[in-house]
Amino acid sequence: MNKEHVSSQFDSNLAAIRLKLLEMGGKVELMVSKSMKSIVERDSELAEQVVAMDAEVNRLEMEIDEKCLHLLALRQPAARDLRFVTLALKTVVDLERIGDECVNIAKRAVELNREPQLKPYIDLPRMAEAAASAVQAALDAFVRQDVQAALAVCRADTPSDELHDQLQRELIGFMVTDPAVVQRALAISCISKFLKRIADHATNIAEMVVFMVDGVNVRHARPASQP
Amino acid sequence: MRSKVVGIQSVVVLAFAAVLCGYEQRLFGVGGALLLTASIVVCSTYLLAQVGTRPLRAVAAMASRIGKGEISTRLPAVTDPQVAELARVINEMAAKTEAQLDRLEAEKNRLDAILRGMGEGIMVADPQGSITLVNPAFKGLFGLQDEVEGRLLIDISRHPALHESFRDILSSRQERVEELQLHSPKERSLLVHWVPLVECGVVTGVVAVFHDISDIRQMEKMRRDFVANVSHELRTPITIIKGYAETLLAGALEHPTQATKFVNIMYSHADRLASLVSDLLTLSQLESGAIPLETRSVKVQEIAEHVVALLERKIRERGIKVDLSGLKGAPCVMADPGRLEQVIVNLLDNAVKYTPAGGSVTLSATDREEGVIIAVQDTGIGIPSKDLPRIFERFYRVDSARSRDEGGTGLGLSIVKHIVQLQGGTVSVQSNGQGSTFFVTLNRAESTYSGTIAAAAAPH
Repeated sequence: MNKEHVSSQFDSNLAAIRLKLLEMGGKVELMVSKSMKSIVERDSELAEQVVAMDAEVNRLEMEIDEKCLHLLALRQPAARDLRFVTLALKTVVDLERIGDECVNIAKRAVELNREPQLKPYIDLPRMAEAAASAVQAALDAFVRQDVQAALAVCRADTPSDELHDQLQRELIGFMVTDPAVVQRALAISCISKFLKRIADHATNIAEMVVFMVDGVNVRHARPASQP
Repeated sequence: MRSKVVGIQSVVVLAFAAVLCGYEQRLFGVGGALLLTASIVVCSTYLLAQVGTRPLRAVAAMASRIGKGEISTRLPAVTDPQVAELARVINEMAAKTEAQLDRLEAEKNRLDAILRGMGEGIMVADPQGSITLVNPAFKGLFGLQDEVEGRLLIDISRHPALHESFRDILSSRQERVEELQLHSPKERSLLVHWVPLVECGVVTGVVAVFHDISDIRQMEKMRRDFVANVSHELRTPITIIKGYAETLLAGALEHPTQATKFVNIMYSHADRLASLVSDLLTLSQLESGAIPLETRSVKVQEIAEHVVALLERKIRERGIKVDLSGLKGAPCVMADPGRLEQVIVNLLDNAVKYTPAGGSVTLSATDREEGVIIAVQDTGIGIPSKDLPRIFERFYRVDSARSRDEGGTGLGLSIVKHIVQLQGGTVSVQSNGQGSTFFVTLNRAESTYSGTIAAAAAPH
């Protein structure tokens, strides 16, 4: 988008898509942070706010989709602009999914907050921190068109996987010793899985940023981690 | 100007040519006369024009330099009165413009300095959401290092509330104050004052002032916690006293042995209540500065010996050895003797409380450049490292059940901290699992730093 276009209308269309995409990103980031707080601080009110925000994110997804299709149909963008529109179309899907995962987390939070806390949350906030900073870093990389930053997000995915496995083992230990905690342990296990998926979606966004800037496809270049 | 000169000159030349014609007609003929005249006309026109326009060109060149920004350029004196007039006007104009520019520059510098010095973050953006001005405080709040001006607000922060407010201000054109919870780069509570910039009915931008109120919110939370803590601490002994009083009324008075036991329990809890209220009062007086401090030169050793005598029974009952030898020859400190005694009572009492029988408590003093460090070291149960940073907070207890059993109010160390700080000192604590050491640093009474006993009296 650095190149001068003959049509300023075209430029402003691209800028509008970019603005909406970042706005959606900002909402999703807030959802990630609020959903995690609702668990750690045992605040069900925050969880309800997250559920309410999802509708807004879904609306933005449709709006961005429509703007992109409109631009493709009317202007037939090429090269970098085409890659940008492709990125937007794919990124909204990832962002919307992150929003959905946050809603899932929030729903589990409401369940968990009704019962006594199973264990001090230590790994969960760490995973949430990793997921939130991955989403933030991916969006920052998009803002700055920074390939190196985007590649760093792609590489940083692994610690989140390790924390997930570690937490699963710990939860199995809890469930084996006391069947009464199975329900809560399962809820925590799900949350851990949701957080892992959020990190995976952030990686997808980062990969798209590399593709948009350099036109190089870096997907599936590393051992695939199935969500 | 030029045409006038040429006109006069032509008339002169033509008259000259006519005279020339009259005399030399016979010599060269009419054609020759005319040719000569024409050549004279051409040459003289050129020469005269050169002489007439040279000052004008200089004026034009200088004016152009002024126009290009060399505002301090002035025109030299010119002899031609008309050109001189022009030069004077241009010079005046240049001087006025220069003064105006200086004034604007000074104003800009002043504004820059104000913006730089402000604790509040300031951001100005145009209606398209492009940032036109920020100050360093804004960059600090949002964790920005790069150039911000010219970038879009959404590139700076994606916080949804920020953009919703921005759009609202643009459409409503109303000032607004609201709170914003930042979660990145770190958790912060900001009070944001939004002002639309309206010129001739058109919104030309939005100004936002960000005031960091995280500390205020934190204090409010602490105050709430404090009230909750106080109520809880007061309620516990009251509930017990009330319970036993009811039992006595319900008939326990008839059984003298039981009644005595109950009254004893009631007495000990009333005692605890009294010490809690008195500690609270002390703390609030210390905080409000209502307690006048009479600082004078005080011998730490004398005070410590007095405190040991006060607590002697407790020390003996517990079977703990108190060693004051490290205070021998310690320099005098500037302190209120009564208050210093209170500090040492609290520290020694704590040390004795948390040291098992057979253990020891050692008091020592070290003379350092920053002041005299009084150390109270015990061989007790120690303090877990996670509790160390909060140990001086009000009602903070490492093991609340145990602390209450020992008759503590949870305010002792907080009072110590306040007293020491009021006297210009500092407190700190170290613990490694084998006992704890509390350090109190106070100002030396003698102004000169001797350092002679430093090595001998060092703790550890």
